[in-house]
Amino acid sequence: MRRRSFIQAAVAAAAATTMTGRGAFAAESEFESRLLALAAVIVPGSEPGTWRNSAVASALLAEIGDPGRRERRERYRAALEQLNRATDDRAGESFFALAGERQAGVLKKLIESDEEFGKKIGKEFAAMREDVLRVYFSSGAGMKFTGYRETTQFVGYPEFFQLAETWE
Amino acid sequence: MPRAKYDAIIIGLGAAGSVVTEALSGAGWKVLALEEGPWYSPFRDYPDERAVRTPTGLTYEPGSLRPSMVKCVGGSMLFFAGVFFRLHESDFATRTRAGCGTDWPISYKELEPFYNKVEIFSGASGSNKNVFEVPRGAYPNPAHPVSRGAQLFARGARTLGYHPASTPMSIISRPYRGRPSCTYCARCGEGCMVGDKSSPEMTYIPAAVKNGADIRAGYKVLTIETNAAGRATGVVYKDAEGVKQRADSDLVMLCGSALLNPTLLRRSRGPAHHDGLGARSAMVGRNLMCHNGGRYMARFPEVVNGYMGISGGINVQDFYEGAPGGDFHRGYTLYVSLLPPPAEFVGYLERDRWGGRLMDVMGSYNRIIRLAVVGEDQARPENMVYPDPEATDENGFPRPRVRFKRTVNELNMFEHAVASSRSICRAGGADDWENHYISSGSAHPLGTCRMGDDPDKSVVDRWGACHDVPGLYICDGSVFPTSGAVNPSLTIMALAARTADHLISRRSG
Repeated sequence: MRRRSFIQAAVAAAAATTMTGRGAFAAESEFESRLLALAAVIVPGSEPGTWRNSAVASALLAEIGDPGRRERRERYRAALEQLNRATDDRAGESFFALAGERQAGVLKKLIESDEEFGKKIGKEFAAMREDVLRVYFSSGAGMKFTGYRETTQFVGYPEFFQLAETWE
Repeated sequence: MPRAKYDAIIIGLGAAGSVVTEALSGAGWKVLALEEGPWYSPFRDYPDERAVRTPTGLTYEPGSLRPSMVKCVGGSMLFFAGVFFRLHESDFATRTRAGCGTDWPISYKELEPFYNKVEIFSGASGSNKNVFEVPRGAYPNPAHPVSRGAQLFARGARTLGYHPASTPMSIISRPYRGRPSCTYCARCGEGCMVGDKSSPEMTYIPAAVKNGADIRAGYKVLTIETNAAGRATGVVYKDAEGVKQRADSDLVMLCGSALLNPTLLRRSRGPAHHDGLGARSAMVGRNLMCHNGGRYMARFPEVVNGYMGISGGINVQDFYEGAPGGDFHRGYTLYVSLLPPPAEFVGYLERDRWGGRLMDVMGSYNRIIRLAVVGEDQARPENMVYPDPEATDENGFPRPRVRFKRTVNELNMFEHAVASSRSICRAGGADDWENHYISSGSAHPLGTCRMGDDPDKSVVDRWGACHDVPGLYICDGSVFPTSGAVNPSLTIMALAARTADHLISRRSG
């Protein structure tokens, strides 16, 4: 039964790919890699690979891929394309082809100095930033980076309080 | 079948309603307590954040501050931090002493026994060495240990000649009356399933149930009923299934919060109250106060783990009565409050919100402390809750609409609070990174049914009895004539205990 389900799912996936076309699949993949590239600019990873094939990257893609938020995904896609074009206009290169530090510099300049750009994608950038920050700082990697240790009921006193004295 | 008649009907089971329900049922009264929100089960609902702030149905004018409250058994205290200050003696006579606000019709001394009573029932923890408070006896439980960040804050305050003190908390610091002491899990804001926070659903409500009080959650009171003589006779409510019902009593106690009481009073028209209840003074809904609240964050060279444990820690009340040269009325309290978890904390960093600068700050997250500023708010009639002219609720009643604008007084006070927080933290060793914000909301709505001796200027008398509706008492934060500069939960509960005591003695006497 399980095997049959697997085969059915595999056939359906293959059919879907064919029906929607390889172009659509590629576009989707490009959107995701652009989003992750932007995430790496917003949260420069303290560890290599933070935004590639990691639990954080998967969490962000799952968040953006929520079928109930398809409209938002399309807005983000358009905003990332705008960002790419604006960079091309100014630097003659694709935003996503730039090195990380240059990406951050270009983005900062665009946000601060280009009113038209700000109007077009400023709001979307802010929303993407919110998503990226929330996902990253809720993740194990984000907690490790900040030094945050989650405590729960019944695990005993946090060391900090166990050692503290009543203050008078 | 004749309807059941109760000795008292309580509307709302927050800080005040819980205390009143326990006291009256404990005196053998037949009590019906109706709460519109849910009754959460701590072990089932708190750990997984299933206890949520249900929609209050409030609307806000554009540009208004957005105060809020919580509908559930236990009320806003279910999510509160546990800070359990008393008002100061001067708070009861600000007009006489400082030329601003309104004097209360009661003094600190009249409320003091009820502060004691609530603190003992709840198991408050603290130290009686705050030089700014009225001299008092020991707390039922000792003060909590304080975090490293709070110690550095205290060191800075001492260096500058201020008087830091342990912050009194409702959270029990050692096992007390069958409840275990705090585990410092830092989840006070999600509901304390251990029960050490002493929110009413863990203290007064179980006692009221034991006393035989009839507590019903999910029941919305639609109107308070009055007879031709103008006397309260009961309530009309919708039960949990949405069926309209009626309950009778000669005593109705409204404990629904400063945000929700006004619209219920105004829609409860009767043969002798064409404009609603308590309308004589035209003060119902007016004088909304929200505390002048905000936060200040500072960073130290060492790990302080500001997110661990409980809020409160150390407080400084040197500016409670005002500040020399300060361009504002009365003053504020500063205390150390918990730093939110990283995903929430990052939301407060407007200027450093992405890239390397953001990561520099987030990398020092566990070296940051957050201070709470609680400033006295001056009552103004223009700040109010009134029936929304357009939006209605599911019963066709106008929704409560809030209009609250801060004035230069509050902004000046907050600016002063930021400056003093900065100097204290830097004297304690903080570096030059800081972040601060004045709150756009408030969990301390107060004052919309103010207490007073003059029926032309107030809604209720010194006992909480509505001046023009015999049998109706109002008993929560809405009766505060002034706000003070401390978290109001304990005072709300003490006032409720005092009103209940008055009713019980009057009946037995």
